[in-house]
Amino acid sequence: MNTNDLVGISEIKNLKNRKEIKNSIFNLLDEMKKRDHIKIPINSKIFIKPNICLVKCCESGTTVDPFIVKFLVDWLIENYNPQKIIIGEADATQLNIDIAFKVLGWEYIFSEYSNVQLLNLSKDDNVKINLNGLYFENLDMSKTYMESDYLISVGKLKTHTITGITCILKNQYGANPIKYKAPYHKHLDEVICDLNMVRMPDLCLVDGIIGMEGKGPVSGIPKPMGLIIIGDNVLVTDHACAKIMGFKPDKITHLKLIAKETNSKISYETFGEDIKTVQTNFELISSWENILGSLYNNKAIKKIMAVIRT
Amino acid sequence: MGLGSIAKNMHIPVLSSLNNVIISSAAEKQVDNGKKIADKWGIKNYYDDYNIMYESCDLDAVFICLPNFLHYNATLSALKHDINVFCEKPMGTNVNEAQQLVKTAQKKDLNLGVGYNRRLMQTYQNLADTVNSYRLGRVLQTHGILVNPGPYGGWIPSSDWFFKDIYNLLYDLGSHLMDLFMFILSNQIVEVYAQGVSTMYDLEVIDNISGFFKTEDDILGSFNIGWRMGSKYDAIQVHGTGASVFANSMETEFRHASYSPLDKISDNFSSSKKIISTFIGNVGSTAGRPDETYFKEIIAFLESINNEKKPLVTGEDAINVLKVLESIKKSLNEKKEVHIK
Repeated sequence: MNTNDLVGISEIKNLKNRKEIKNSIFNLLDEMKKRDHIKIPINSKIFIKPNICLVKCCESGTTVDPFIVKFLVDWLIENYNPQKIIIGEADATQLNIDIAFKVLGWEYIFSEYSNVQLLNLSKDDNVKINLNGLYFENLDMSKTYMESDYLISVGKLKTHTITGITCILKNQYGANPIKYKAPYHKHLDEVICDLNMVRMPDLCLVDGIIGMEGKGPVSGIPKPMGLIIIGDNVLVTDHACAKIMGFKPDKITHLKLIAKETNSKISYETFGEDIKTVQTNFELISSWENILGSLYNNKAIKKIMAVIRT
Repeated sequence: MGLGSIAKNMHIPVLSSLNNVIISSAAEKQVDNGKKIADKWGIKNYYDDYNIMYESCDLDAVFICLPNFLHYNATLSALKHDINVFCEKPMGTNVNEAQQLVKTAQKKDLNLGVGYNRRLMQTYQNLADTVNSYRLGRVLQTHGILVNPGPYGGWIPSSDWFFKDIYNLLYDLGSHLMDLFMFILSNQIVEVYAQGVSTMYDLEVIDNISGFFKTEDDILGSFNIGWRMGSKYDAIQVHGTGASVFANSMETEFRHASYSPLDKISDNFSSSKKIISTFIGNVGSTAGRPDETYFKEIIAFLESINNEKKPLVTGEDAINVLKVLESIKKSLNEKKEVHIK
């Protein structure tokens, strides 16, 4: 990372106007290209990793809008004519990605593209990566994902009950091909760090049109923001997103961990909208709800109550 | 019979907690999964074919917890083997099947109970009591809604049978709501009109349906059922010439002509009190304890076998629900109102 890292922010006035969304995405990408912050090799294989963590539509604030990825694909084809574009996501504890691709419209939208492939990372051939990371010694990753020439991560502007925010860094956690990821939740920040260290995205795009606040990443409340955020570095993109959502970036553990692991100092330039003008407060769970929840689930209290009852 | 989620999470835990019940046998086609569950609950006899189970075991009753389209055959076979049956809703997929089951049960003098457990929720019992106590005056209108995230949105079905019939929303949520209407109003629905949409790309499943109906006493009703919602929600309101009443799974609110903001504050206070006492009451209970309604329906069904009483929800009730569902289906197809005979 260097002082030239760039974050672009575009605000959409009419959240339902796909033409406006397309123009915003094209303008952001054009600006990044003009400033030489997008360097895609000729005849390359591009991998796009969208955040699809449940079969819930983009308007619920849970998943990335497939049309955002469609506009990104259109721009890539227009500008670089890549050999192939792979859109891939893995199964998760409560997700069958093949069904999600179908039900949420990804199959329908991308059926007209001859060089675009939808890929279930959990079904792809794996390659073993020696990582010696904060949690994983080594990781079995999708071969197609690891061997692609250029990686674009498309995240969603959301809160997360464990990690505070989920934008790009947390999106990369989903690239782990293992379906049952729930056991990792106890070490989530370390696992997020490892999944980014295994392969850093080359370009980051955040769907902040309708984000999510409250009990994210799947059970929160939609937060209409009308924002598209772009960045050429995962750390600075999430740093900017955290600020936009009203969080202090230095309180986000996985952001700090990755900065430490990569020995990075966060410094970046923005274009488009200013962070301060679009900044708002995303609510997380209220503290009294947290206290009540932990009391309710406390094993010792449960035992005492069971004894009293009998 | 059938060791899927409803058996595993509701029926088996409830039956196992009762002193006078032994779960002696279970049948499930998916052997690996089925055996694991049978072992966990100490069920000695395991079969992958229910007909062999019916023939080999001396059973007082069987609980049918299979996918909807298998209810009829499994229930009929059990009745033919002289076994009392508790069948999860719906009792078959059409009126003819349900009538056949009721006839067979009557002929064999067996009990046939059906799992419409939502009508046993305390708030809906209160609503039904209020309506039937004539405190609403003459009932004129009603509205009901039952929506949730549904399969894929809220859970991943282990098989795709949910999507093989494009009308499965009707049998999932529609059957509960229609049973609730007829139970609360003590009135048969005689006319329906419905519209539906499919919002899942590439799937023709109708996942949202709205409609109107009229009952035998000229009560007008409207309903909404749907999957893909962000949250679970259910509510029924009934309006009469004397008062109105509104209920959902957490509260019941009675509105009369002089209802004031003070009444609203008092209602909120009393429902908060109930929610807090339920919360405190559940603190010591085992995680994943089945809903109270399952205890009520199962205990009542077992008592009906011993005392030769009727189960809480009978085969005849289930036929009435299926008549309405078939008419809604017809209305969706033909885009016109349908009269129910």
